[in-house]
Amino acid sequence: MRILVVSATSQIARSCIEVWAAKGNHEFILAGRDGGKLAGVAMDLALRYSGSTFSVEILDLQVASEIEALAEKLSAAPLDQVLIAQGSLTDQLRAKTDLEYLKAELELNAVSVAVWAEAFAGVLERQGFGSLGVIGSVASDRGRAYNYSYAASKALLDVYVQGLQQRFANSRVTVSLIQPGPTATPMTSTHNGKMAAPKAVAKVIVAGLSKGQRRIYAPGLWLYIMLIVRLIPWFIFKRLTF
Amino acid sequence: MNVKSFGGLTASGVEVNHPTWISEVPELINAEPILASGSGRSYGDLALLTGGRMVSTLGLNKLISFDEESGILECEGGVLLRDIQSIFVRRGWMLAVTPGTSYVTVGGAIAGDVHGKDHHFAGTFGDHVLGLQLIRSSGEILDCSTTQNASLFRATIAGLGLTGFIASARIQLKRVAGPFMDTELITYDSLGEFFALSEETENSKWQASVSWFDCSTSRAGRGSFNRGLPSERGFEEERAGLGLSIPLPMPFSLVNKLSLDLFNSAYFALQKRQAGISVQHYSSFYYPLDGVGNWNRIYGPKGFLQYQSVVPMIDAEAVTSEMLSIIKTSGQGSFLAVLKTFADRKPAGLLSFARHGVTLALDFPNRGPKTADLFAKLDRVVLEAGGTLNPTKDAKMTRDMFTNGYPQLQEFLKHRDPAFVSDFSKRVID
Repeated sequence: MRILVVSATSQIARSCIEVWAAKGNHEFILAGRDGGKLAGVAMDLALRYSGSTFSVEILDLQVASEIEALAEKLSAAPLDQVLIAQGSLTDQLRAKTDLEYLKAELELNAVSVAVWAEAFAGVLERQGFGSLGVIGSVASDRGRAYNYSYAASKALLDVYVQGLQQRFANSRVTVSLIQPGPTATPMTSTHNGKMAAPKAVAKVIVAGLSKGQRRIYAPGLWLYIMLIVRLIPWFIFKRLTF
Repeated sequence: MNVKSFGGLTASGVEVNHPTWISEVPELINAEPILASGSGRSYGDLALLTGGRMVSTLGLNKLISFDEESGILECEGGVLLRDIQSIFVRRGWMLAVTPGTSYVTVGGAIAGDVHGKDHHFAGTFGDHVLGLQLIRSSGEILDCSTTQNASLFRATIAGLGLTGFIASARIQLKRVAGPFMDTELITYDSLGEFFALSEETENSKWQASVSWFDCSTSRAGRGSFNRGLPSERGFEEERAGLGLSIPLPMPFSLVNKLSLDLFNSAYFALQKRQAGISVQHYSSFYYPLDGVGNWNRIYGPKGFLQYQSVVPMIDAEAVTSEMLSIIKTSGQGSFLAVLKTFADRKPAGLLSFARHGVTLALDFPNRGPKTADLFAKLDRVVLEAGGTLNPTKDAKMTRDMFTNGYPQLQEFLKHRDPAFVSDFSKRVID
């Protein structure tokens, strides 16, 4: 497969690449902002998985014209899989008082990701097939005081993906919203509690994408947890602190 | 939070950090007290820091470069030996020295200057480290090798993690034809036979050896001797379904004192039946316990203690049998008893444990004062013989034992990073 991974230095993205590369030989294109980190990750992967190829695209992930140019460039050959893994775990406490920070986070987590999704949905539509995966979060299933800025940006992606899914319902293009639960990534390393290993999460994601699943909870248990969270009546929910 | 060592010791009030980029490290280690941690496979308190900040290397696990011609690998300190073996064996390269578990990080293997079955042939892990990048608490990033910061380099190998943060290393791998080992299993009936076999092995084609022995029954002193060397068989034979022998897992179990005799006798009998020449995959030859998940938990919530000593070759046989009789008298049989000789080689680091002599490794369930009493008795014998204990396994050694056993300690301390502290260093050095 020819696979584009956006923000390929993130832990979940790297784990997904490892799951794909362990199972077969693929052509990976790793896009990201930090050239040094990206090159380090690409070299590591190339040494570990000598059957696959890894190339690097360095660009500003938030500039629409750069995204558009990359989409144009990569559409020279068919793309089988696009995974958009861009995101930052917003510090809710800081977002309450630092409005510039809040705005930047919302743009990074929601606006620019939607632009990526739209740009590559177009690529897949023109070639007539392919799978697009957008990494959201279980947090978007219900707004909570604890992390609503982050959750709201992920909720935008949820609706965006729903729209794309309906648009491509009668084609060979599939679009998936990936909702990982808390994963042991650098983003969550200062949090305590039980977390899933990135490898386990990645396996669920890769399996879901290959089936064109519309919504991928990873690990799958989060489907039920968030179902319960959504069903908690307000008079109880308002007293909760999680 | 609490951090547990492999043997079950706990450090409380630890702040654990997980950087994924080396660029994050200088800021994280600009604190005091601080300690780098890897896989957590040290048995005792070497990789614990109560009330301090531990910076995990597990997220720093990227391979940086590999030269197919020379076999030189550069990688970050958190890369597991397991990954190196499985990735590079396919290209005809493997680690020249590996300990008995592959779940160890490169940084940990350097800081402990670990040894393995190949000691007489290849020395310790540190002998194959060509260079390393060390980050000090001051934020300085130092390239260390035999030609650059040479004395700091030698202090960092076997430096118990006290000279700074090992960010990356360059390692010389060795050429192999494939993943297999030609091996031989020999049973013996006395310590004398063990020493004869060891000597013969050292001067032969065999590159690796280790021995299990029975330290519980009336026939204590008997055991099995396992030796091997890389096979010329390539990967084709792996695919062809080569008839591999699958060795018994090492002898440890939930046996109590009553059944230990029986257990060891049965194990010995089984080994005897398997004796002879065979071909083994490297993973079962080097890492027999890696296939057994969480075997350390088998000893229950109190965990276990390992006693690993080394005594000089002169009198080694007499000293070893004295230790065996102390263990027998104590009634605390060891389930895992491993005996091995170290060749006469220059140690790679200032505080290297491996030195010319005989090493004996024994696992005991932690029975509190009873076990401490046994260790004190063994200590006296080891000290008197001019021997010492292995810090990477230790939880109980005295300050005296450490100072006597590591005569280059004062030289080492000149290179210590003052911010780097461990529960082990607090106990025997600071």
